[in-house]
Amino acid sequence: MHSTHPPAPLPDPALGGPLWVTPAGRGSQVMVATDALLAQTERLARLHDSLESDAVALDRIDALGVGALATAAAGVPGAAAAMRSAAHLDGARVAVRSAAAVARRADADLRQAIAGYTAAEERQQSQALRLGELVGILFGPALRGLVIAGMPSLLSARAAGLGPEDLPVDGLERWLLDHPELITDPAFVEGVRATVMSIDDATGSAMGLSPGAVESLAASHGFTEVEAGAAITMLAGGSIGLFREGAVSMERVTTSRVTHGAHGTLDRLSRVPENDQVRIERYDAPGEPPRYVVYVGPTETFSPVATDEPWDLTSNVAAVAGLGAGSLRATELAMHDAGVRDSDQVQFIGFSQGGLIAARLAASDSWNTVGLETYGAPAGGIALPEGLAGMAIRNTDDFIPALAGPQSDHHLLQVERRAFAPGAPIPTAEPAPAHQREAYAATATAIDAAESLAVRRQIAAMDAFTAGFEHRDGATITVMTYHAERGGEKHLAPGKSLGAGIPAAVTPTWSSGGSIP
Amino acid sequence: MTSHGPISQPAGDALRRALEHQVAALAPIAAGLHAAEAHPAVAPADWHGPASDAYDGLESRLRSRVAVAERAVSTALQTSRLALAELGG
Repeated sequence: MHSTHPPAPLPDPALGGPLWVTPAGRGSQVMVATDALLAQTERLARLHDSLESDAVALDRIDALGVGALATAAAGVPGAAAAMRSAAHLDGARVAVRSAAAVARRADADLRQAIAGYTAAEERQQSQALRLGELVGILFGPALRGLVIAGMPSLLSARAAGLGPEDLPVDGLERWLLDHPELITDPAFVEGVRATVMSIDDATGSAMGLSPGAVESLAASHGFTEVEAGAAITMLAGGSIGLFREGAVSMERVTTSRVTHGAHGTLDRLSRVPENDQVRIERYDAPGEPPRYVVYVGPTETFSPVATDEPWDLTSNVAAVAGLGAGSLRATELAMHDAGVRDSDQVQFIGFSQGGLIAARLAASDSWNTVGLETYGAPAGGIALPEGLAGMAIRNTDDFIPALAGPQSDHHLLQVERRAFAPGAPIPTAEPAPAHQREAYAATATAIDAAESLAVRRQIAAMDAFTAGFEHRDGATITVMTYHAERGGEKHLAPGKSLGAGIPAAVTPTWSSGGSIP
Repeated sequence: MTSHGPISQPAGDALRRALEHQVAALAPIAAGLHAAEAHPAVAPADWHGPASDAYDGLESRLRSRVAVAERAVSTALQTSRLALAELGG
């Protein structure tokens, strides 16, 4: 589904919409604004502070008493001009304070406009989700009828030797290719979001349960919101051979050196691997513990039937549900192999499913996460810790992030943008064009050119983690790439974390059991 | 012409020192306001709607007030320099 790495050529970022920014915050502090508007509020705040500071400075100048001294020196050449300067100074103090007051008012009005937009957006999304719940409840009985009616066909298909691998997935891909304008419409994306949020209600209704019963049941088992829908999907799919998790094995395929850490959002995205699903950069400097950047690649196959590829739909659904996804376990095996200890500082970077896995790892207590950057990740419901550097980047016309429901966590900066503005040509070569790496590369380019401090500070914080190693005596940057497969045929004796030093040239292979907790 | 006499000399010195401080303190304020006037904070052109329309008026008023402040501080600075020059500073 995803194009090969590296992306080329980059689409023109001007084809997309403006950047929408939601700085990290909580409750009523959460606001949504374009990068340009945020930058404007920041400019107004700076102007107001500067004018206030000028007014205080002018008060101090007035305290020099030039007017009184000029009166005392009446008749001296220059005294009359000095008196006029004192009068002009009074006028300047009034004018500067007046300008400061208007700057404060403009800043406050702009922030109020942003707050109004944020509230309207929240209302709209809340209504869409409520509508989805009601539709789910209403159509539950029809769904039950369909399942009952389809059961004979399913049994007949089984008897005829047909399995889940014979599902018409190619037809779905063709349909996606044929309708790029539909699936890249933000309205479609919101429909997807509402649908996934109504799975639990629709299931409950189909089973004849009262509204909210399945949600309560799921919550009693530790599943919240969209996690419940994903867990139900796994459970239902498992009965017909879909979404079956299992053991994974991992192999280090290359070990090399680079001279520079990533600089900027586009550079980080370009380092996210493809095919070999995990890339780990280890930063060593004398006298310091190593630090790591873990890059996790996107989904490699969308088949709902688990094959030998762990970066598949099964891992997607399992990771959204918060279960032990094969790709998550494989990434942790790679981290152990690279020598990452629980005290070592780590940044996680991921695209698509890689972003989902990155967010899950950042949210876990197992790692000392200091930064997280995701692109198009269905990870909105994952509760992240406070204080992480980085951002979650989503194209609003990309339906994949919507598969995880609405953005409920606000501990990380959120940056959104329409990949294809209305009227812009939409590529038809690949399904879900707004989810392709090229579309996110264009968004990353726009982010690197962002004006607002909210965005610039996070880019700088991510850059600072790996900056300057090339200038430090004895510092090295080691890059390890990993390939994982489903199946546990290749095993390595336990305790093979390579710890300090450059990993050996041999390619160790690990295996992880894959039972769903 | 009035006689400056012995009383006016110390008063003139004190005035000169005060004016020197005034000029030194006003100059960076004038420069800052000049830059603020030359590069006004302008809302993005792609922002539309009622909130944007209401804000446009405020933004014009802000530009005008900053311009008035810049002129006022510049005038105070010029007059202070003139006074210093006349004092022989």
